[in-house]
Amino acid sequence: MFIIMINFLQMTAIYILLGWGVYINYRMGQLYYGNVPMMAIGAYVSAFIVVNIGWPHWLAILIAFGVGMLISFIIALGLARAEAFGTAIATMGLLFIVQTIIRNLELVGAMYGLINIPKVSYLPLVTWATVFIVGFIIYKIDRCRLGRAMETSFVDRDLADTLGINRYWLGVFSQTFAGTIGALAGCYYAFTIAALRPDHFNFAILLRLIAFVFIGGAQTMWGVVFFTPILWGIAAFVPSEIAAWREMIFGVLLIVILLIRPEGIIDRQLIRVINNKIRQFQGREPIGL
Amino acid sequence: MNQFALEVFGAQLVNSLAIGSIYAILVVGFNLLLLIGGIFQYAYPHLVVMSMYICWLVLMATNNNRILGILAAILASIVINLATEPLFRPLVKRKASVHTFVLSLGIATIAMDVMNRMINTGRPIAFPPQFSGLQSLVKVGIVTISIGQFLTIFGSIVAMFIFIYMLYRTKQGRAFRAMAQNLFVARVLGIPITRQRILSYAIAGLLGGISAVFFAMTLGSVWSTIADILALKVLVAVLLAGMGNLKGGLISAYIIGIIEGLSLAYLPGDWTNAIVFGFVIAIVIIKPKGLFGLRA
Repeated sequence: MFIIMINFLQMTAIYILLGWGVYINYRMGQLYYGNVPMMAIGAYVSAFIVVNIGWPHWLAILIAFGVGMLISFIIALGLARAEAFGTAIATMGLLFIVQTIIRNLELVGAMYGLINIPKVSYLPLVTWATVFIVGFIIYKIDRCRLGRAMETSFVDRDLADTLGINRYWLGVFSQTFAGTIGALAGCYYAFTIAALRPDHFNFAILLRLIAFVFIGGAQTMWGVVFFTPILWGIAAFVPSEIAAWREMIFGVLLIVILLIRPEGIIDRQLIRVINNKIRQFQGREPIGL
Repeated sequence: MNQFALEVFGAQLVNSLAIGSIYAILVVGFNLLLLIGGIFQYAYPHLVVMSMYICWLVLMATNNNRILGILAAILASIVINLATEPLFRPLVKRKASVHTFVLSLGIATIAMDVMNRMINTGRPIAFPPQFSGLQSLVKVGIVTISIGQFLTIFGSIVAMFIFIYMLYRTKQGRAFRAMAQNLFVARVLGIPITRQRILSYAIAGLLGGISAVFFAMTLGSVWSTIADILALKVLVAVLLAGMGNLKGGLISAYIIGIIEGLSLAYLPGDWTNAIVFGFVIAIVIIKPKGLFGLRA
């Protein structure tokens, strides 16, 4: 039970990190799923370093971070100019390309993948520390000029251009950010499950991620945080007869939520109401809805 | 040796044209949904693959009755596409185009799960030899054109001609083009928008059903994960041409087919899909609006 719990917490953290990557790009109206291929790259780079070279885990995490940042920056330089659907399709294609490269690369075990990745005791601590740090950064980004610039380019692109917002570099920033935390998530994923195969990084993971983000609410950072544990809990804790249908459940839930609550369950209105409740409790003036 | 190389090239070209024709039908159906339906239907190829599964089920049940199988594929495709319309309608009404994409991802998830679990317990299905057109029709040297390839190339050209005739020579087609150009003016002119939208789903379903039959004939077998690859290829062709560009979409579907067929022949391993997708990433980066521009 303890191991199941640890695994559940690890996977939740990984999906939260990936979900924030989708969120921060959706904030400026982009559909960027490049953090899933970056997750594959991060996982394989870190696992290769630990298994084949024998360097310590912390160094592997650092190198995966650096490699993820570099590669996603280079990709973002090109992709940031594209429209939303172009980015979505290009990053989905990127997932296929990365999968094909991994499958054909003898260096990382090709079809058989990398096995016997040594575990490390402090991993949950590092993972959740990363979640808190990244969450803090996103919270701060949302409340500074950068976040308002993103908000503006989500609402109206022409308005954003008129106001002098450089949407290109904003896109490069948010895609690089998402890709980097995606690579970190992949690195933790590799150390959690201890065996990597190319078909781990398939379309199901991407569809599941999108379901988590859009059911929870893609307009606020809290949707991912609260709904990843609930939805991933369906997969981890309910009887296996129901859990076998999890993809179907995610799909149906996603459609129902999009129809009845377009912004997701935790939308901006709900956040404002909660904020005002907290302010009322503290005895401060409520902010207007 | 030179003769041999030429023949290999010829065989691959025929193969590429057959694949490209299937993509072309799907691209037209996708663009129709995009322009008239107002949705970004990622799951359209998934529904096509699903109607292939239904075609197979009917073939199994009726002891390989070819006519019934073809009818079942086309009908299933139309019915499934029409069934998605009520889901998209509220999103289309509030002009949430990004959300239609996310919703279609949900539909894709469900379709994949149905194919993975409910039909043939998730194993690949093989069409019976009476149905699949893998037998050779013409043989020149080592170049063989199978019945399936022949029917696919010519059938899809006929289907395209009928569709383009409908679009440019009939009253119905004029209504569609008016809606694609300016929805507001089309409404003012008295075109029943919702009814036309439902009709566009039905026509897209019809095209999907036709391509499902051809796909079954050229391939001979089908498995569920092919839907994701097919979906990406269709979107790649759409993006390559520029979204909503019907004629450009036809050309780019054949371009994708030829790239795929030739890389299948001359490159080792399973690099085909990677090359096609690498190509589209390059296009998206260099020309974000596609090769032929938007809505020409």
